[in-house]
Amino acid sequence: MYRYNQFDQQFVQERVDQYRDQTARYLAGEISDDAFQQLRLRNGLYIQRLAPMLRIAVPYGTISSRQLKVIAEISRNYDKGYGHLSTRQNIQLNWPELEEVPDILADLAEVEMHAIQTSGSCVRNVTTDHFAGVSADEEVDARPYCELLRQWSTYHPEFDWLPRKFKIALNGSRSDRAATAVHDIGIEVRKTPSGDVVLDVYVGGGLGRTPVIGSLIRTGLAERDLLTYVEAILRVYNRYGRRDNKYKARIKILVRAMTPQIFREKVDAEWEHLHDGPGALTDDEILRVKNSFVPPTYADLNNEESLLGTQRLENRHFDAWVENNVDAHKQTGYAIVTLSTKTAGIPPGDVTDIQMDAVADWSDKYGCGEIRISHEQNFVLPDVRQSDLLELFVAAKKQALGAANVGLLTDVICCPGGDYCSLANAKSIPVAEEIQRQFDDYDYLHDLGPLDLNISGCMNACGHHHVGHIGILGVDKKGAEFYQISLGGHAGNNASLGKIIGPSFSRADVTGSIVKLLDVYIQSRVQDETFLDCYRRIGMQRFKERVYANAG
Amino acid sequence: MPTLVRNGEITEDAWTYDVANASSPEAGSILNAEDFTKQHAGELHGVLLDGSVEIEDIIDQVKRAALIAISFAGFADGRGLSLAVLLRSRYDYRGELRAVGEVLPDWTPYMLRSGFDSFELPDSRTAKTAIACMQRMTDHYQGSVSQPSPRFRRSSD
Repeated sequence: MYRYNQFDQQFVQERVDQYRDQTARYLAGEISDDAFQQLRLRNGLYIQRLAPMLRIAVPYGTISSRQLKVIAEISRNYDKGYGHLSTRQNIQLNWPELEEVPDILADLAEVEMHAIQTSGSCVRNVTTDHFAGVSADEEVDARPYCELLRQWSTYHPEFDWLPRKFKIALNGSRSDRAATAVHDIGIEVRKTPSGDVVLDVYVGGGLGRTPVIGSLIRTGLAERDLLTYVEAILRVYNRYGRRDNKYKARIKILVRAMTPQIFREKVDAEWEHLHDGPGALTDDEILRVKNSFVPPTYADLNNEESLLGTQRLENRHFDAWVENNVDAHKQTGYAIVTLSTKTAGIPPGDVTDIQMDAVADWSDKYGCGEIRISHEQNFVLPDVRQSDLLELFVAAKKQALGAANVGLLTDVICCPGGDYCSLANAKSIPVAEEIQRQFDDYDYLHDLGPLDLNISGCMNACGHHHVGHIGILGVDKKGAEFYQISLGGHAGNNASLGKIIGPSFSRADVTGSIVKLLDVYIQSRVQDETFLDCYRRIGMQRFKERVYANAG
Repeated sequence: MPTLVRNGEITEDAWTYDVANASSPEAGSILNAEDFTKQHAGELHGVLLDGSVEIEDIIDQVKRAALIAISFAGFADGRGLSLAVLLRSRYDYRGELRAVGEVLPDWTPYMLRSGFDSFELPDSRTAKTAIACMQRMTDHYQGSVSQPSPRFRRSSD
């Protein structure tokens, strides 16, 4: 993974000192609440319903065992001994003290970490495929481009005060695991037949109140043009994006108002002035950053098909776990393991200090000391020897990280909701828990197959409900919590936005409605058709009839 | 009275705003864009622009001003930064570029790097804080008006 050079280290330390000074001036009454809010947001600090929340940046979801151990330590020293894996691949602490945040940031800087631009109207943490660099279906490792963008966007003189937050995602695999279609900028990194790396740029996708699939505005962009092209997009957005209404301030609204065609022309006109300027990447710089993502030294192993076959026959829980949580690795004899945080009774994405320490230890013992965080709020160990899988599974089970449900119904994506977040209209965590308890039978879950169920507690859509095969959105009806259900969303290749099925449901009726929807699927599916494919074939009507059959 | 910081120091302000809207404005007065254009004001005058201005349309007129003041409508409104970048790097504007309106100390480093060289702060205390803020960070990743070369072109570490 990328290691800081002397300048990177100096930069984060100076940023900590700067923030310490800002905090001191705020506490001395020299900075207004409104002004300080903007300053603290750019260092990841929210003031929430119950306490401040600090969002620590995990660039493109990659973290080392040493870094994760420091976060576990910080959660013990400054917090309540747990953290939360976010849908932007970051780690959040829910209970830090405002006065202590500079000390936390200083501890993070010691291990090449920070909380810069994890909130606020600026370029946020750039995300990518959590299997980048190891997945068998990868064309290009997108992480070097993410890192180049991270550095370029950090404390940018012109683009730290945008109309609204700005999210960039990159993907370099055949399967899009980075949800690039629903980002302000989504970049597909691919190889041409002659072996050059080029970029296809989508703009104006997003979730929130107005979900939109991004528009393709440039194909085949050269690597060296990555930063200048993004600069051109951001300059157009910074100048013309709406600032009068925060719900209309995202770039998707501007792109739609201008039309993607005109937006593209504006960007191209701007880019004409930039692409031969000093902002163009040099071969040396691209190489320098690529070289910091060289694969670890793998042992010369064989695939362990027969060993795994025997182990799976003897242990049906292990069999299920391998089926759902283990993915194919580039390297013979290795596997990618996803450790699910989704166990009923635990808020999705919440992890204790003990679990963080355990994951760090496993990554040292069974892997290469590196861990990923997925936008589905799970941990990923990217380099596990196939022969160690069973031992890892047994250890993970003991730490409540062994649920065999990745990609299944109970692998719920869920925002913190009304339990923590001051924006939420309704609670989301208890809804997730009820559903997880209802569907605790593995055979049934397995029979349902791949199913993304995503829950957001409000229109801001942090739980990505628009792109859940089943999406649940908390709404406020005269002070009571209600839930709108949508069907047919999808975040991967051939992305789509869910459609609302009809009137919203009371909390008591949510789980029952999900049961009915799944009954319709099971009765309607043809052979091994997935829920999404089935819905796309038969449409909304049959689901709607069943779920509202006894209503009114 | 706002306090002016220019080229990193608290400075006496020689410019005045032309509030009387005189038909022949005095030298050293800052006019709004409309008056500046109408009265064929030139290198003895300044012009005040809003962050939302379509600079492409008026650059030929305002470029001859000795001073361009850009007004920030709110401290989190970054449009003035893009405007400054365009004036300096695209249109090669060499006169004084002044940040006015909602200018707070912690925002001046962004403004400085985007091409502003003078800043109207609310008072002398905030002006001193702004000077300290502008000196805090040693270097940056990306290029800017004040340092057009990104760090990767300057160093091999």
